[in-house]
Amino acid sequence: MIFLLRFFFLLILLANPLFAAATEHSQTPHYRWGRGLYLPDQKILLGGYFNFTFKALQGRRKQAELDDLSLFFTWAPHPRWRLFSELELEDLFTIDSHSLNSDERFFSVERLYLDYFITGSWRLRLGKFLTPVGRWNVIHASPLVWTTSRPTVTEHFFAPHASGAMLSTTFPLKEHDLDIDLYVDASKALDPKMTMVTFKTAFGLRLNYELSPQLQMGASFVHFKMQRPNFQPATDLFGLDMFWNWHRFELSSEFAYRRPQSGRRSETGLYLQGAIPLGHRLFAVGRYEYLQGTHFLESGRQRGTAHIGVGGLAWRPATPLVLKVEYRFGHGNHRLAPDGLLMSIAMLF
Amino acid sequence: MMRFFLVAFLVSVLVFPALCQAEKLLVIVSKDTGVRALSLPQLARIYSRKVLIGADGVPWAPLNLPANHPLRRAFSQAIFKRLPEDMENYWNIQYFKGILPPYVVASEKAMRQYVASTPGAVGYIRPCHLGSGVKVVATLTFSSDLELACQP
Repeated sequence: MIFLLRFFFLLILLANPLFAAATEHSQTPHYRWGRGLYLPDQKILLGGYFNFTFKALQGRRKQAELDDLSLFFTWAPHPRWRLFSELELEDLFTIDSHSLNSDERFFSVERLYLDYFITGSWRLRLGKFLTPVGRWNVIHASPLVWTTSRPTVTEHFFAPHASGAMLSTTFPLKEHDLDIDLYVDASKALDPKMTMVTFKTAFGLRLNYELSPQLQMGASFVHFKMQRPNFQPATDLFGLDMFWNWHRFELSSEFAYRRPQSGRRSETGLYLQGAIPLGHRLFAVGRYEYLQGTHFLESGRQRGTAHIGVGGLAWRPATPLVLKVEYRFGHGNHRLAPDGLLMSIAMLF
Repeated sequence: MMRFFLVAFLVSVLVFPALCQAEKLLVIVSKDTGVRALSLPQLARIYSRKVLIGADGVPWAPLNLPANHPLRRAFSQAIFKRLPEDMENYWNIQYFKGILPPYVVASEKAMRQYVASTPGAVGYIRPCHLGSGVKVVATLTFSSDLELACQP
């Protein structure tokens, strides 16, 4: 490990002359809140975010936790190559009415990939990346989303990460951009840490079309087999999503339908979320979510239909900072997403 | 009364065209760059950093003026149909992907100097700031007055 780190820093030092040649007019190293520390000579960007959450959920202990501390590292040693990593300390500490607990903390490599820019509009990505299904999963960081809780349809229907290769391109279609991601997962060979939510194998396609500066529509497909449970058959997932914004009003929605190739169980889920500006940087947020089918969760199996509602406020006193408070309620949601109050402070740094 | 209408007419004839005078914004790259022209959609892709390298493999280095500068606001409206402050969430998301917004320089003079000396750099200036070392790859025309005195 130490050897790898030494090798890594040696590469950074060796790459210095390359950068000097690439840019004649030099920038100076600079830090900006919410945009990280940029070292232009080394072409390195360091940054991250944290999330502190308080939950008072029905049937569970009230608790406050520092649940995310993420660090980003971007290094572009050559115009065509870019390395990106996100290292995360999760559940760093939890405070409840009885104790301060830091036993559940763990370190994870959230993302680690190398991008190769074949041309200006074609990119090949190798490594561990966020699975491009819908919108929420690829921008799930707390400072970027409106609510402390996450819609279940964006989390439990597929593995949030894929380890493998992804080919991406953007091309104009009737004067608007169509983004295409085509990927294949090889977690079995590449990911040493198999969890409940890891693909065994997968391949997928994601399309995103920008109909106007205000409206985007997306479609996703992924064929996959999860690492666990073993008995679960290969599954196809189809998804549709949209995002609309106008003068700080925002509406977003995702729909997913999951169908095993053998067996009769299928699952459907969707959410519709809106954000309305109330005043200077204060927003009212509402979300409705519907789930139907059998869901294999970390807590076990859940059958039937669930309706989940979320209503709350989000205040963004500055671009990188967001404070959120919300109340969640519903029907058939006890195990999946219990009723209760959630609050959080999240910040990009 | 007749005199009032006459004065009003003369004022409108003399002042109104000046107010409505079209202002040009020149999009510039280094003289040594092979790029000949950039369309609005291409500029949008470069300035949103969706496209990071050019056809010759040289990295694009788009430059911006400060967010409250009238030229920056006009340019942002022209290519994104949005003001800089409306792009904040977009740049938060890009930062999460390890991508920074265009580098900000203090003035048009600084922008021209940076562009002239950096292959792949793209900037925008008014015609009065045009000088050696750069070439124009797009011209944007604004119907409104940008209310800026040009001091090359």
